[in-house]
Parts: sequence; structure tokens; C-alpha cells
Amino acid sequence: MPAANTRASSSSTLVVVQQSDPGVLNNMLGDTLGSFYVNYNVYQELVHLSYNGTTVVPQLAQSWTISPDGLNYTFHLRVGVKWQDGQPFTANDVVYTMDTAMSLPAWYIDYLVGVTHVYADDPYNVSFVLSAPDAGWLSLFAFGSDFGLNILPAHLYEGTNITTNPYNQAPIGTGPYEYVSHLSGQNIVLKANPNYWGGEPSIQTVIILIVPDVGTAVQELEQGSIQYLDTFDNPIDYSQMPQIANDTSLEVSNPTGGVVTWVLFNTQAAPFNNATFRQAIAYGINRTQLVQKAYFGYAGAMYGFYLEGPWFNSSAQIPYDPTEAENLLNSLGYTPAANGTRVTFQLAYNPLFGNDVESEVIQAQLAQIGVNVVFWSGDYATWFTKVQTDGDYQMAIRASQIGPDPDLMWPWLDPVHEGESGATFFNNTTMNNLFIAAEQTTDVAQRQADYNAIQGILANQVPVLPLTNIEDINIWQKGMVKDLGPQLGTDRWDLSQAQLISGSSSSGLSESQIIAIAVIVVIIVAIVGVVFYRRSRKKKTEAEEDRRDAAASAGSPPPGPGTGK
Amino acid sequence: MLLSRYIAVRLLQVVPVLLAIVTIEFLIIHLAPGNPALILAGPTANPAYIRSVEQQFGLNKPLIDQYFIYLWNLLHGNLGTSVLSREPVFQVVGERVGATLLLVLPAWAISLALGIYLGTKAGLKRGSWLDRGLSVTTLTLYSIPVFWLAVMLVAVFSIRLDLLPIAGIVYPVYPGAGLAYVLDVATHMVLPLTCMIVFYMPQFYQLTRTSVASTLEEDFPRTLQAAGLEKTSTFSRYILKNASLPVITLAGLWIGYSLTGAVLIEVVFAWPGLGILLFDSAVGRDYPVLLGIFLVASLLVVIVALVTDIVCVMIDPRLRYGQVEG
Repeated sequence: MPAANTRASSSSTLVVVQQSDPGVLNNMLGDTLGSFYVNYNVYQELVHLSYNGTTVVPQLAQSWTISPDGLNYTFHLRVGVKWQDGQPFTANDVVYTMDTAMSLPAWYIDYLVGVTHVYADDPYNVSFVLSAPDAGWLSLFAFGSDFGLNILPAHLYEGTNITTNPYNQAPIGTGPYEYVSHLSGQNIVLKANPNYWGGEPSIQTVIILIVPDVGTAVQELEQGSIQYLDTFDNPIDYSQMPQIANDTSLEVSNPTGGVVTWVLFNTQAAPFNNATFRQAIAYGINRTQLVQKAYFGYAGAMYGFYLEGPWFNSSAQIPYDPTEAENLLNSLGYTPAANGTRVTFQLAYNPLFGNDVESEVIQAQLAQIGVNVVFWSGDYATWFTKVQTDGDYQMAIRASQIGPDPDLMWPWLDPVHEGESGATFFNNTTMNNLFIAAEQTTDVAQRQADYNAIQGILANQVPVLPLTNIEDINIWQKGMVKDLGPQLGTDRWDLSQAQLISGSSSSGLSESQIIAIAVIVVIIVAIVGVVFYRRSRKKKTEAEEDRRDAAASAGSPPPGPGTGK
Repeated sequence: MLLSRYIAVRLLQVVPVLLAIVTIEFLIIHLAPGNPALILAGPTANPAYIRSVEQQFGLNKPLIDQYFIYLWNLLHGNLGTSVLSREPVFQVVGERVGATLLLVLPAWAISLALGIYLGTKAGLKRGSWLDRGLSVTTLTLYSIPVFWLAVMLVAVFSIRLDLLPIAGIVYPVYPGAGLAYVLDVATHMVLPLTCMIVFYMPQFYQLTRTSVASTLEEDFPRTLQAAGLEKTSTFSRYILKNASLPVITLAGLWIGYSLTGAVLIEVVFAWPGLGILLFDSAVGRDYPVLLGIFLVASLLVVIVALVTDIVCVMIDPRLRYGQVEG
């Protein structure tokens, strides 16, 4: 029976969703519009970072050894792994991938900085040589791997131009799922890899649906036609969260993530060229209220200068203290004018990561201490040009990833460091030297001391002010799917262990619905047809009557207006 | 023949119009701050990477050079390569045109047919209860924000009644074959199509109604009536022929506009058409794709404008000499 067949095949299909249609399906080409589901489930990496960001987890590398001088990392590869086209996976693939990554200037190059070369010891051992010891390197490398350093099949890429290679659109990897198809603007389909080294996945088909409007995606999730939604690919409107949390068919996981929203001050433009003024503004922002109003509680308030955890310096914090803020403003001569306003400045935001709502809350909070905030807003590219490239702003707000290693903070803070920088114009030699020292030692206690000192400088100078640490929200239909990455603590995109719960059916057009709709369509067409047929008959008879009338009254004057009907 | 000469002259006029369109669109797109390299570079942009992407796509050259390179390629039928997907623009745009036309053409045809039919009915009997009822209804429909209507339709028909799909063009899980596939697409079309018709039909209705009513006030209908013609279909055919010119012009303009004007509807219903592509390309500063979409849309507007002009001339030969009087 066809109906039974349809149901059987649907029971092994998982539907997930992402907002943007990926340009290329090879994240190594370094764009943010790729598909992380493809990157994570078709391709694989040597090592990746655990979901909570604390541990390096082996993947294509089974284990690794570090030379005593800290300069040589040797990865021992998994033996017997095959590419999805049947070719064996070897150290040659790793060497090709890393050489290509280092030759292509790409955004993740920061994660390979310090690597002088990569070579194969033998088919199953590959070594990375560093120019100087770098304590944070392995976790940075694992982090970068999750976002672009996926291992490519050398036998399909070597000797070709990586930017135009056709496998960028039809990837071949070593992962649990194989690429099937990509319909522009509609979906990407993956199927289970029966020869996967970790065992064939239970779900036979994965559909990555492309839904540009996140509100629509949430409706489909609530209805069950989508079973899993991660908010990294689908930036949700936080005001929808209370409703989602109340939906008993949905389960929400919200571990703390590494994305932080923070304020940048232009330390060379008045009034922010004064550290005391920057401190005053920091005292005036209630970050606990910000979490409630802008994120409905799905974030952590930040009063210090790094993520809470082993690297956090709890004594370098700026609490919410409006009285202190007003005292500092008074001491600088910013006394209230007749209308209560002490000073006016501009805050530049873009709408990503809820920064627009945050800006409104900040405006209201600062108004209470007599500070008048006016807005400038634009889309990300416009905002970026104004703030990061031109440095033409007073105060700005943005979001970015600052973990897993505190070394990653540096590019955001140091104007001479090669990175996305220059915005705050904050150039503190002591701080820069501490960053260099912390990078070059493997002594954890020494690094701890360096980063503590850095956080002390930041709390004193306030070139930036962290506001909130956004939680990683993932939502799924709990009666339909289980063992997703967030449940296992692996990663939000990890579908390798996922299972559909039998007995559930994803909603779609059933056979009977199709028949019902077809019947309705036929009835409508029939009615319209009958109506038109009758009308034309009627007209024909009317015309005939007219002719007969005309013939009968031949010779008499024509009837006046309005007599015929 | 005069008509063929008229068409030839109009075709020649298309060339400078298209050149002007390309130039203006090129300049406007490049006026927006930021460039594709920034978007490609992602959240931890590295200046060296930005420079290399700029070089790869020729974005580091002076604007005037970029403009002439674009024109030169265009002359050779080359629309360039998408910055985001690295595929030819012709292919990227081509993949999406079909879906948009599938939505736009039926919406256009139904709106036009309904609008003209109802507009004629109302115009012939101005002031009647039918006219008043229709005018109030269409005005109400026209005033509903499309975005809100879309959300409400989904809430009622997809979520509460579970009759129609929420979004997309087919059910991805079981895209059937044959009749099942056609029905699948048809059920997905119902809501977006309704939204478009609700927005566009009232415009055709209002224009037809006013046009018919004002034509009725001219002298010739009275002459026709005096000669014995009644307010039946024969009569409305004479009236309609004169009243249809502005409606045809609007219908022509509307087709070009709706090609990219359906962005909101396409985004809400995840309809894989040009509208979404336009939105993604604008956010991603994908200049070649943006120009490609604009070029396709302008080409269509120019062609449709030509066709409507010719149709108008065929309906009313006086227009051929540009000497139609009040």
C-alpha cells in the first residue's frame, strides 16, 4: 500500500532547519554562510572541542603526543577510515588540508598561527611543528576545526583550484552522513553512510530545510514538521522563548555558550577618551536587568572581563552602581542641565544577537543617570564599516565569540594585533606584553597570573565592557527525536547518534489529505464550469430573444434606454 | 506597415534604457557601505583575508574600471560569478526565476481577471449596493498589511485547522511524483497566492471601476444606447475596450515589480524564489547576483512595457501617432 510505504520512509527522516541558504558546502572556503550541519556530519576534523568548551575530543585523530619542548604535536590517526567514495583516509589528506588552509588567507588562519609546517611521519601519523611553545594552541586548533578546518579528500582536491573545485558543492567526507542533494533556496538532503567508521547512523535521511524567517521556522517546529532547531543557525526573537518554554511537546536545552555581547568605547573620541568617564558608564549599566529584558533570562549577566571559569579574575569586576556612576560624572564636571541631561552621545548597533533590544534597554538605564543616548543602526556590513574599519563612532555594541582560550580575547582588544581591531584604539603596552608572555608559556599558573593582570587592566581602563553571555538555545520535539548532540553534550550539529522515536510521525500531507484537497479542487472547478456554462447559455438565449424582438418590431422605433434587462 | 515600424522604433529605444538601468543599478549597489569580502571574512575578519577576497573578485580596482569590466562581460553574455556561492550568476538566478514566476504569474492572472470582472460590474452600476459592497471589501483587503495577513492565514489554516502547509514549496519529506507532486505544490501555493491576490486585486478593481465609470460619462455610450444597445455584455465590450488602457498599463508595470516585490511573502512562506535571493544577496553584498536580479527584473519590465504599449496601440490605433485626445 502506498500510504504505508510513505509512513515507513518518513519514520527514518529527520528535518532540521537553517535560516540562510549556504553558498558553498565547504566551510574551509571561510564564509559564515556555509552549512554547519554539512561541515559537522559529512566532513570531519582531527579533533574538536567539547560542547562546553573545556576538553579536546579526538575524532579522526585517535590520540596525540606533544614533544617535551612543546613545539611538536603528533596526531595518531584512526586506521581503516574510508572516504565516502571508498578511498582510504591517510595522513596525506591531513597534510594537504593544512597546507591549503595555510596558503589560503582565511579567517580561521588565527587558529593556525605559529604552525610552521605539517608533515606525515607515515600514513597514520602526522606532525604539526610550532615556531614557539603555545599553551593554548591545541584547544584553539580544535575550536578552529569546528568552524572551517575540516579535513578534505586530497585525492579529489590535489592539483585543482580549491575555490572552484566542484566537490565544494557536492562534498565527499568521512562522516556519518553522505551528501545527496542541494536545492537552491529549499533544502539540503543527507543520507546515512553505511560504511561510517563509528557505525551506520540510525536515521536514514536528514533534511536541512532552509527557512529564511525564523518565526516561520518556530511555527513549523511547534507543529512538528521540523523536529530540531538550533538558534545558532536560526537567530530567534527572544520574545518567543516564553511561549516555546510553555509548549509541552518541545524540549529546550540552554547551556552557557561562548558568545558574548559587549560594548566598545572609542578611547580617542570625546567623551570616551577619559577612563573615568568609561567607568561611570559601566557603573550605570544594569546587566542583570539587561539579561531579563533583552534575553528573557536566556543569558548570563557579566560584571567581569572574561567568561566565568578557570581563567576568570573575580576581583576585576565593575558592579551596577548608579550612585557611583553619578558621582564619577559629577567629578568630571558632567552636571545635569535644566532638563536633567548631563551628556549626549551616540550608540551604534546592528540587529544581530539581540543587540538592538539591548541598546534600547541601555538607553533607558543610562537615561536614569542623566545620560542621553542617541542611536545609529545599520545592517552588519554597514555597521562593520563604520565602527571596525573607519573607527567613526563613540560607543558601539556587538557580539562575538571570546572563548575557549583567553588568548582569543586579544584580537578584539589590541589595535596593532592582526585581527578585527582598531575600533577601540586602546593600545596599552603592558597589556600587550602580558598577552605575548601568556601565549608563549605552557606554564598554566604563569598564564593564569598574566590573564588575571590583563583583566585588572581592563577593569581599570574599560576600553570594552562585556554585558551578557548568551546561552546556546536548542529546541526539539521531544516525542519525535532523541540523542541529539546537545543531549549527549557533544555539539549542537552532531546528528551521528540521533534517533527518531518510533510511533511518532512527522506531519505532512497524508494520502487522505491529498484526496480531500483533490476532491475540493474538482468540486470548485465543476461549480465554476457549470456557472459559466449556464451564463453563456443564458446570454445566447437573450441574444436570440433580442433578435426575435427586433425582427418582430421591425419598422418601429428602437426601445429607449433602461427598458431591457 | 505602421505598426511594425512603431515596434522597431520602440525596440531601438530599449538599448539606451537598459544601459541607463545597468549604470544606475551598478552605482547604487556600490554606494552601500561594506563589501562582500567583509561578509565572507566572518566574525573574526583578518585584514589579509579581506584583501585577498577583494583581489579575487576585482573589488580593489577603481569603481570606473569595475564598471567597464562589468559592461564588457555583459556584452559577452557573462553576468559574472556569485561571491557567496562561487557559481555563475546566470545559474544562480536561473534556479530561482521559476519558483517566483510560478507564484507571480497565477497571482497576476487571477488578480487581473477578478479585478477587471468585479471592477466592470461595479463601474457599470456605480452607486448600487453591489458597487458599495465591493468597494468597501476591496479597500479593506488592500489595507491589510501583507505580513500580518500571512501570519494570520498560517495561524488559522495551517496551525489551527491543520489543512495547509506552513511554508516551503513542497513537503521535503515525501516529495511525491506525478499528480501527488502537482497537488503538493498547489497546496503550498494556496496561502502565498492568497496574500498576493489580496494585495494586488484591489488595485486592478479600483482602476477598472473608475475607468469604466468615467468612460460611461463620455458621449459615445449615450449614442450607443440611443442606437439600441443595452447595458449587457455587448455594451460593456465597447466600454471596456476604452476603459481597459490604464488597467493594461498598470498590469504591465506590476509584473516587473512583483518579480522582486514579493520579498516579504517569499520570506514568510520560505518560497525559494528571487525575493529571498535578493534579500540574501543584499545582506551578503553579493554585487554580481544583485545586478543579475535587477537586470532580469528590468529586462522584464522593459519587455512587458513594450508588449503593453503594443497591445494598447492595437486596442486604440490613435495612440500610434501619439495623438489621443482627452
